[in-house]
Amino acid sequence: MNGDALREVLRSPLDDPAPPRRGGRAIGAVLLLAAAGGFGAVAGARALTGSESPATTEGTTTTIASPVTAATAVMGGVGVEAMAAWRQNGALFVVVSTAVLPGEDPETVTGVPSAHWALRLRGGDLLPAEAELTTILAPGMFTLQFRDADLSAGAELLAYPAEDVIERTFTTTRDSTRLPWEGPLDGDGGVLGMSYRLGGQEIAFHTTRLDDAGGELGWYLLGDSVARAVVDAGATYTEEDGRPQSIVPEARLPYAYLTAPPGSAPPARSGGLHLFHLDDAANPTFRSRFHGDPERVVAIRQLVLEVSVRLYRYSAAPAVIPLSLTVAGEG
Amino acid sequence: MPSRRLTLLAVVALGVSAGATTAFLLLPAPRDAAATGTATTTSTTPPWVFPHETRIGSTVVVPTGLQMEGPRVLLTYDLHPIAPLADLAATEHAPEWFPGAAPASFTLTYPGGSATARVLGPEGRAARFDLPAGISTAQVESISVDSFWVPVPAGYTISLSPSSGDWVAAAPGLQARIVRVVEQAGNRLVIVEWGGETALAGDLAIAGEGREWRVSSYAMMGGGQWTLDFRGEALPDPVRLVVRGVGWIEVPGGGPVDLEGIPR
Repeated sequence: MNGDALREVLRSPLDDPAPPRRGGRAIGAVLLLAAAGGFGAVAGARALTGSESPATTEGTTTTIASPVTAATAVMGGVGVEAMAAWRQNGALFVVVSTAVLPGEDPETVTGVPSAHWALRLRGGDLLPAEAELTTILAPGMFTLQFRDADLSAGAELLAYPAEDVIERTFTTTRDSTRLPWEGPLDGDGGVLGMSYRLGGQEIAFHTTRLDDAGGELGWYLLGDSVARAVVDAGATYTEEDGRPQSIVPEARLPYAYLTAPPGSAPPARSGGLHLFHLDDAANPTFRSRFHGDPERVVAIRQLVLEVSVRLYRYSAAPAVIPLSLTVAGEG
Repeated sequence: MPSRRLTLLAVVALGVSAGATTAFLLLPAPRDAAATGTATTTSTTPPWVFPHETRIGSTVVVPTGLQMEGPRVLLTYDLHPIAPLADLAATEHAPEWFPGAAPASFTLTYPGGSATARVLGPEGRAARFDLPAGISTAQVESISVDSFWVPVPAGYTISLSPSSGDWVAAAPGLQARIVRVVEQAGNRLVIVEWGGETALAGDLAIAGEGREWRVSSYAMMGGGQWTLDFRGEALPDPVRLVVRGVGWIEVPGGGPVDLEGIPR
C-alpha cells in the first residue's frame, strides 16, 4: 500500500470540516486508560516479526509446530486473532484477542503496539475502525467498532502499526485567576491557545475551559494525515482560602473502572476531553467526582494545567489478519 | 498468577527432567529409527502452561479432575491466561480481571454414546455430564470443548427511548430498555433493565454520558435494573447511554481436552 492509500484509510470524517475555533462543544469524552487494556502502552512500535516455535523431533521426521493458527498474525511478538463479530444498532463489532507466544511469560510481555485498524472488504474497500474499546477487566482483549459491513469470504483485518510515537507534555501556570476560565492559557510557560509543532505535525487546542465542575479541552491535528494523537489533560489549583483542588479526565477518576470501566477512542485527528473535578485532591476515594457548578465564580491562587500529547505515526505496511467469522445478529 | 504459572512450569520442568533421567537409566537405548524403518511423524504444539492444555483464545484450559458426583460425571478445570499482562502488572489498583476465554459447552463420549454439558457462566470452572447408569469416569473416552465465551470490552453508546420503552440491542445476546422514569424534586431516576441472556449481563454497566448524569446504581430486584440519576433540565428522547464493562459472546470451537494423567 502506498502512502496515498494509507492516507485515505486514515482519513476520517473529522479531517474535513474545520473544527470550531472557540466555544464549540468537545466531541466527546476520550477515555485514556487504553494503556491499561494494552493499547498505546508501548512507546515506539516494535517491528512486525514472524515467529517460529522450537522444532520437536521424534523418530526421524520433524514437524515444526505453528504456535499460532492460520488466522493469527504476529505483531510485536504477540499473536493477534479476530475471535468473534456481531452487529448491533447499525454498527459492526469485531473482538480481537491477543496471546503471547508459547514459552513466553505473559507477565513479562506487553500488549500489541498501537495500530490503526481497518477492514479490507471483499471488493477491496477499506473501512477504518471508528473506535477501539478496551477495559482493564479483560486484558489482552479489545473490541473494534466499524460501521456495518459485509464480512463474507475474503474480508481481512488490517493493522497499521505505529512506526514511532512522540510524547510531549505542555504545562502552563497562572498565579492568579478565576474560574470559570475559557480561552488561551498564556501565563508563564504558557502553551495553550495556539498551534504547536510536534514531530512534523501541528496540534491546535481550540477549546480550553476550566470550571468548578471540571472543564473541556478540544484539539485537532493539522498536516500529515498518517498521524494520529491521544491527548490527556489535568489541572491542579488552590482556591483562595481553600484547599488544593484537582481536575482530571473521567478515566482518571479514582477507581474509575468501578463506575466507568474505560473504553478508549483510538488515536484520532481531533478530539475532546471532558474534565471532572475531584471532591478531595489529596485523598480521592471511590465516587470522588465533585458535582460543582460550572458557572460558579471561584478565585484561585495558582493554577497548573498539564496537557500531554502522544502522537503516533503509522507504518504503510499493515499486518493482515484473515477473517473467518460468523457475524452474530442483533443482540 | 505469575507465581502460580511459574510454579507450574517449574513442576512440569522438574517432572520432565526427572522422567527423562529415569527413562535414561531404566530403559534400553533407543534403536536407530531410520535403521529399523519405523519412522514416526509427530506434530507437537509447544504448550504455554502445561502439556495437557487446550487453548481457547488467549486462555488455556487445564483439566484438574474427573470424578463422579452422584449419577453425574464432574469435570473440573483451571483457566490460565496467555494474554500479555505486563501492562496490567504496572497498573496501580488493578481490579480482578477476566480470562480471555472460558469454556461454554463440552461433549463427553463413552462407549456407545455421548453427552453434552453447559457451563453455568464464564466464571464456572466445572462441567457436569448426565450419563446413563453404569457409566463411570473410567469409561470416559474423550471430552472436548465445543464452544467458549469470549469477553467483549464494551464502551459504546446505545439510544433508549423513555417514551416508547422499546428494547434495543445492548450487547451480544442482551437488550436494554427504559422501563420507567421517576420524577423527583431535583432530578429524574431513569430505570433501565436488561433483557435476553441476562446471565451474561453481570459484568456490564449502563451509564449516562455527560454532565447531567450522576452515578448509576444496580439492583438485582426485578431481574436486574440500573437506576440512572439525571440532573438536567429536560430528559432527551431517545437518551444516549454508554454500555461499559465486559459482555460475553459465545463462539464455536475449542478442541479436545487431554485427560491423560488427571485424577479419575
